[in-house]
Amino acid sequence: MEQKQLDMMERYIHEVVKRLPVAQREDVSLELRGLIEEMTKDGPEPSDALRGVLLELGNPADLADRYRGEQRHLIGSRFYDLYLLILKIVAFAVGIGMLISMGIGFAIDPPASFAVALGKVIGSLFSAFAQAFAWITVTFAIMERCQSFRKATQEEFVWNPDDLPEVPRQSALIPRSSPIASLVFLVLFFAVINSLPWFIRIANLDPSVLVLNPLVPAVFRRVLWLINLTIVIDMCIEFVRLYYGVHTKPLALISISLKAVSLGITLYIILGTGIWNPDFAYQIGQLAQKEFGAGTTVGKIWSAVPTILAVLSVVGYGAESVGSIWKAWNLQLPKR
Amino acid sequence: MNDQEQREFDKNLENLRLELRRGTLVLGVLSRLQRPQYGYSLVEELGARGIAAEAGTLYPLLRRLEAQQLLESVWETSGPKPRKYYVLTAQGKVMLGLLTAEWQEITKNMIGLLREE
Repeated sequence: MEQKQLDMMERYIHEVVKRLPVAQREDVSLELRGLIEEMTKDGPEPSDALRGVLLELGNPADLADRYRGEQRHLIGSRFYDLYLLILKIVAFAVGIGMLISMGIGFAIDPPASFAVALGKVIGSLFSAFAQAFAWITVTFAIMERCQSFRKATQEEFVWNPDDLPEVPRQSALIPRSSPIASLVFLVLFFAVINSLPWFIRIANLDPSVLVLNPLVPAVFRRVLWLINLTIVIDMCIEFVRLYYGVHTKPLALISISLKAVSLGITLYIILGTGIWNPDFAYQIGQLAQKEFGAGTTVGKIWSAVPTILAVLSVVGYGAESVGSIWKAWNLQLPKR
Repeated sequence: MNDQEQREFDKNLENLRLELRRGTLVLGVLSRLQRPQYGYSLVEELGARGIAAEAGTLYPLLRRLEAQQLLESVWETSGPKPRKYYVLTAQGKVMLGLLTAEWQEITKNMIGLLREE
């Protein structure tokens, strides 16, 4: 073979083996080199033969696929529909959430011109969509890997028709709208809570605006990641609900235990971080005194707010847990 | 059939033929490896006997069968160019026997089926 042909052959082989595990590369290279040389020898015109041989062997990526013997994908058919659905929900919620929070931002701090505002909106939307897309994709890719790992390790697992779950009663089905609505709300909450420090900073710039902040900004910034963590946990619960689509015992147990974690964090934020601005009671009392002449009452109510919030969280958690346990254990009974 | 339908039909035919042959290729390969052979000589031998096997299919298949311990391989480096020779292992021989019996059973039954109209 001439140098030019040798080059082309090496390029082809490289395109194949670069897609294979390192341990196999040298062996496959040797094998393919031998094969291609042998095949070109049989051709009528050696200089033209190589092209024909490579065409016969086909696209290097396809050949590499055959060597690997497995389909490579990030997200398989099992999860693909759910993946698309979640992408749509999150894109919608992120879009709305960003527009709202930016709208408020622009109202407080009007942009220099329409072009500046438009640029900001497009830029922020783009980066928010990109982030949401990346996180969802990574999550699903991990789910997919876990799934194939389970398949690989549970080869001995024998499927048994007796294990088939009962067809759930209509009343046990979780309407898709319920987790979707929760997800939209959570994404909105996420967008707003994360733009709070920014609003406050901007509002503080203008001395003529009286900023009454019930929270201590420094503490708020410090615990913001904890708040986000509870939002993420709650989102996970909603994803799981969307995935199961029916009240079951495992679903009830998963969501109760995840919610317990999120409740713990919430209680810590409310009671243990000193996030509530102690001066706020005084400030609002002053204001109320001026407006309605009932300053002390308002002040007292304010000092009880953390306790009220904590009690509400615990009661809410208890009610929801009891509800999901009841649904899981009672509604799943088959209709006979 | 119009052109569109004809193309569709031809594509289906091609896929079904490929599917039908795919399973038999393993048996064909195993049957030829009771003595050591390298990949391309196998392609040629199968081709000469009317079993069309593309190198791009056969080479990966040989590696897979080796990974399943039905074949073992050795690099022959004494010749002008190195060649990888494959041959049946003891397991591979047993497998060949079992698959051959299976094949005979299938052909017998299929011939019976197809003869009946």
